[in-house]
Amino acid sequence: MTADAGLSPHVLSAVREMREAAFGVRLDLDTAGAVAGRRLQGELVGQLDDYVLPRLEQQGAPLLVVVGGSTGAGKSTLVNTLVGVSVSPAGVLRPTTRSPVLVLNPADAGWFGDDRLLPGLIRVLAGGRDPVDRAGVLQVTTVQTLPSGLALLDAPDIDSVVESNRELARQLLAAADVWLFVTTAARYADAVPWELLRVARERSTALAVVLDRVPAEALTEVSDHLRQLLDREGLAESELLIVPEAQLDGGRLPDTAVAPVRHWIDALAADAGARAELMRRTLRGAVDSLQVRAASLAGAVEEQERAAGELGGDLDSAYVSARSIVAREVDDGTLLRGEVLSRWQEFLGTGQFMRTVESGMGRLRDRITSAFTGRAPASPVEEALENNLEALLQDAVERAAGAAADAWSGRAEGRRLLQAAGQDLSRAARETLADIPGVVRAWQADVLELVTAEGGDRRRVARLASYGVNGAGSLLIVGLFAHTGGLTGGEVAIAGGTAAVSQRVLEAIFGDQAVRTLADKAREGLLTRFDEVLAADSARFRALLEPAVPLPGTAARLRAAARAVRAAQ
Amino acid sequence: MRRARADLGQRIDALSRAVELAPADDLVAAARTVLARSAARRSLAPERTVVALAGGTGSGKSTLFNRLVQADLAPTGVRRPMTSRSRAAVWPSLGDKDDAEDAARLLDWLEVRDRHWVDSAAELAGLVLIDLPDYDSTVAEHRVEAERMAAVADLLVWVVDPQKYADAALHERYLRPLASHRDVMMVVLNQADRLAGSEVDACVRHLGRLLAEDGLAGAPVVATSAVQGAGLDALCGALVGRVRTTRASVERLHADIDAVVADLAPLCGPVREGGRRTREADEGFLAALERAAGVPAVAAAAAGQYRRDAQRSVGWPLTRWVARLRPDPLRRVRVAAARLSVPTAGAGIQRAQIANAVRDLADAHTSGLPDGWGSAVRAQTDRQGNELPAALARAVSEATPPGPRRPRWWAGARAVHTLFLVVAAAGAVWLATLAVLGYLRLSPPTPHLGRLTLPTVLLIGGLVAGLLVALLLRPVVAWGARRRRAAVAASLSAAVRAAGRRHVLVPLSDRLDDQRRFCAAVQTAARRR
Ligand SMILES: Nc1nc2c(ncn2[C@@H]2O[C@H](COP(=O)(O)OP(=O)(O)OP(=O)(O)O)[C@@H](O)[C@H]2O)c(=O)[nH]1
Ligand SMILES: Nc1nc2c(ncn2[C@@H]2O[C@H](COP(=O)(O)OP(=O)(O)O)[C@@H](O)[C@H]2O)c(=O)[nH]1
Ligand SMILES: [Mg+2]
Ligand SMILES: [Mg+2]
Repeated sequence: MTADAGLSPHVLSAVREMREAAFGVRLDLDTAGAVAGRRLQGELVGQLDDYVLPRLEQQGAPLLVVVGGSTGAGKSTLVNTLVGVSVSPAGVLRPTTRSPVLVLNPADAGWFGDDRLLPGLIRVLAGGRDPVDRAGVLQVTTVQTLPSGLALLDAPDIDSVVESNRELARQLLAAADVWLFVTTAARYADAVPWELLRVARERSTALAVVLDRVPAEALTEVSDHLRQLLDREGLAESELLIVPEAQLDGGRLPDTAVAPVRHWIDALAADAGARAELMRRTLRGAVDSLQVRAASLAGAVEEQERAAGELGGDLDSAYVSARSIVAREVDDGTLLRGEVLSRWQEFLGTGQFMRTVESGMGRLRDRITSAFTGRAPASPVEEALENNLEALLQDAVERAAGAAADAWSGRAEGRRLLQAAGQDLSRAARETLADIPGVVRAWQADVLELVTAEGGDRRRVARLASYGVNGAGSLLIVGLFAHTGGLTGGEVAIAGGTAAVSQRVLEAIFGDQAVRTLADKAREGLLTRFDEVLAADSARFRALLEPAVPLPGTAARLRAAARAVRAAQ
Repeated sequence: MRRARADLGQRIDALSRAVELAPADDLVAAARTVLARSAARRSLAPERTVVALAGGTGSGKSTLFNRLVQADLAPTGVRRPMTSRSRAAVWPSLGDKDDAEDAARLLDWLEVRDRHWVDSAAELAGLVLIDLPDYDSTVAEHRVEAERMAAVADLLVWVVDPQKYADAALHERYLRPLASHRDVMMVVLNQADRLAGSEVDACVRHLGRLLAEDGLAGAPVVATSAVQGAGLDALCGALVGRVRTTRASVERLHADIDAVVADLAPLCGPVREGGRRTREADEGFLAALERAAGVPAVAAAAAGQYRRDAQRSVGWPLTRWVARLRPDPLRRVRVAAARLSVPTAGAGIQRAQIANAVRDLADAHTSGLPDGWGSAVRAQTDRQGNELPAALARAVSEATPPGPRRPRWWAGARAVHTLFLVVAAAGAVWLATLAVLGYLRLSPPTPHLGRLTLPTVLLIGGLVAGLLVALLLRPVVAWGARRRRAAVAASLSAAVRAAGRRHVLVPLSDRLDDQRRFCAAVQTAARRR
């Protein structure tokens, strides 16, 4: 059949590749186009599996005519009448038909095995013992009264409250070689059937419309009107078959009523060329439509990529600005002002520092204290500095979390992710906050180590050590911040030269240049440690985002597949 | 079947209160619409009953309309869709002079221009029957018009037929969202003549089941044939029942309020009472503000100043010079003559400390609050927290902590020190004189006290006594310093706490009160007695 459809053999492999590409698409973010994209993906993969691939693979199969339309339009009644056997129950309770019924000539029975058209549906012999009312079942009936060469499929409705019916009907129509679309005098202007008819037009699907249940008095007016509507929708070519309203006899319509439909079927059954032509037309249409559909699916993927990029960007900017707050506060000496300087002054002023320095007892006392407490005793300076730093870091993380949550709430897809998280992310994680004091202490240790290492030769280290752990730590940190922060103008005056004193001590020990390097390193060290804190906090957001980000290359693969299909044609 | 309900006016008042108090405007948009509609409908012939015939195209709305009006007003036909504008038929009310004008105003508000005035009042007196366009055809404007009218009519009659009664368009789009409107709806299964007798019952039962699945169990269903007339009496009877009570407009508004109140209910979780936890949070917040404003540091500095002054005044005169070497602790906190101000706490640090405290406070107060409220209250509190740094600076600079007054006893102590110093000096001078005289081999008689000479006693006694006094005064000075620290801290912390209360705690507890009042209002609005 591949050759019959005028399609090159390369089409098959190109379409297979497209199927894989489309199947691999994940649209997990709730972007504006996500719902439509997911539907498109389902329909595309479904149609490729159910129809395009089997049709490209097999040749000479009977023409599959799917009888579809609104509930109560009389589809089952029509099929029963056409084949002269009650193959699909009709009824007054809407909707009646829930699992599709495939009717074919016994000669064609071999063509609809499990792996051919609609491979996802389980075949069940109609009238057999298998339950037919469950989802995913295709009832198969063979009747002698249907000519071979074509099969009729009575589909569930397209518009009732039963959602599974609506989905199944669309799936079946997408797998049809020809639509026999049934509407009625009461229904022909309904919005839902026209949505489907437009799809048929877009894909050049072979189509015949049955206008059923037309009261005698309405015959000309309604059929003329419907023909106008078909013209206007660009479906002028499609056959319009009129079935007048008639009294049913044993659930069947009189033969005269269905004559136009029977004639249409018989003509097709008699003309293999016409069947092949319809089949080719629908298949070509479906293959042609693949490019546009794959492109718009790729568009949906790219939309997701963009959205993911924006959500990631929101996080970056929220957390980066938290980092720059801290960097700025460190740089402008904020940390030193207030408490720290007061303490520093007190420390120097009360002679504690000098005593520590002079007596050389500092180290001994520190050792004893740390032996008892397990921690080097913090001087008031360090404590004040720690408190300041902790407050600053905590506030910065909180701000970042709040800004990130705000930014995400401003985007539909971000809002959805946050809702799905089931917890409030607008506050920093408790664990992150609990880590901050440890981070600050670790950094202070870093600074000490840094200075010791930088100190290099033993004499300097020894001299430094003579200040005692407390004194040295305070000395360094205050000195370093005075350096980076550059307490200027009035501030230096306020500092009363104390920070300058410690800076001078440092410079005396290490030299001017070395102090500058040390200061920079200490600053970088703080920011690096803080980056880890920020990363830990933003990981909560990223954990939501990452699983929803489309796999890289999906869109490109789809577009390439679309190009390959066109090239193969 | 119908329960007596709370007065509509009370429910509307309660709902407007709830709308005013709501945490965010977008949450009450629907409630506002209902309120506006209530106000309008209640002022426009409220005793009249506006009945709308709604349904898919071709179900027979216009045919039914014509049968009920007993005139061929609405064009009916086989072409679909037929009706594109709403059309009203107005039955006169009984014994009301201004009736026609009232009805006209009502129809103006309903924006229905095609009007027919029915002559005979008969049993449907007061009815305004409206034939609507369809909601399911390809003509989108019809749907818009039908939806507009369905939102304002007092009684909705859904007209379906054997082909369309199970359409998703009807059940998913209209009936399910109107689940709270069961009492102001009826369903008509028209074209019953197309079904055999037993099939009619089966269809009606099935339709009843579908309605129950929509949340409308028990909604009345009437089978009719607009063409052959079957069931029209039953339909008419049902309408007469509704029209007679003249309560349909009120019932519809009740149903609308039910729907919006149900949407608001999730905003009313368990109402929280300020417990121990929140009191602790308030205290923690105020204490954190004190720290951020530097109250302990200033108080300590003030105590230091006191000690230093004391040292200068009442220390042993010979060691006073040591005090002079120490830096003045208050200078660094910029103490003007008698006024203290905040230490130059880094603005960034202070802001961070305050923001952290505000967040802790807001979290403690909003934990367990329903989502809408929690985020609104937190956002408001964060916003108010931003005013705090400036407010605290102002509060502290305006506070008047006790200045560095010198206690009176300092002068006495000083005098005592001076006395002892003079005594010691006198002893020293005497001894020196004695030494010079001794060198000159002159030895005037010197008085003795015990074994020591008087000048020696004077010198040593003066020095020792001075030292003793200084030692004895030490704890007194320390006690004075403590008192001063406490006094300064008390004065500043009162100012800081007042600012914290005014700018954050009071607005916060007001907003939480709003939540309680909101919930009370929602409960009142939800009440059906
Ligand atoms: N009078 C008359 N009744 C009809 C005609 N066609 C169908 N009916 C009746 O209309 C009802 C619905 O017919 P079905 O054939 O079950 O309709 P369907 O399109 O299969 O409906 P679903 O299975 O629900 O999608 C049944 O009661 C039929 O007897 C007709 O041409 N004339
Ligand atoms: N058999 C039958 N036909 C009806 C009935 N009601 C309406 N019709 C027909 O159905 C068609 C549509 O009616 P119409 O009132 O215009 O429907 P609307 O679109 O809902 O206003 C008209 O041709 C009517 O004659 C009925 O109860 N029985
Ligand atoms: Mg059927
Ligand atoms: Mg009409």
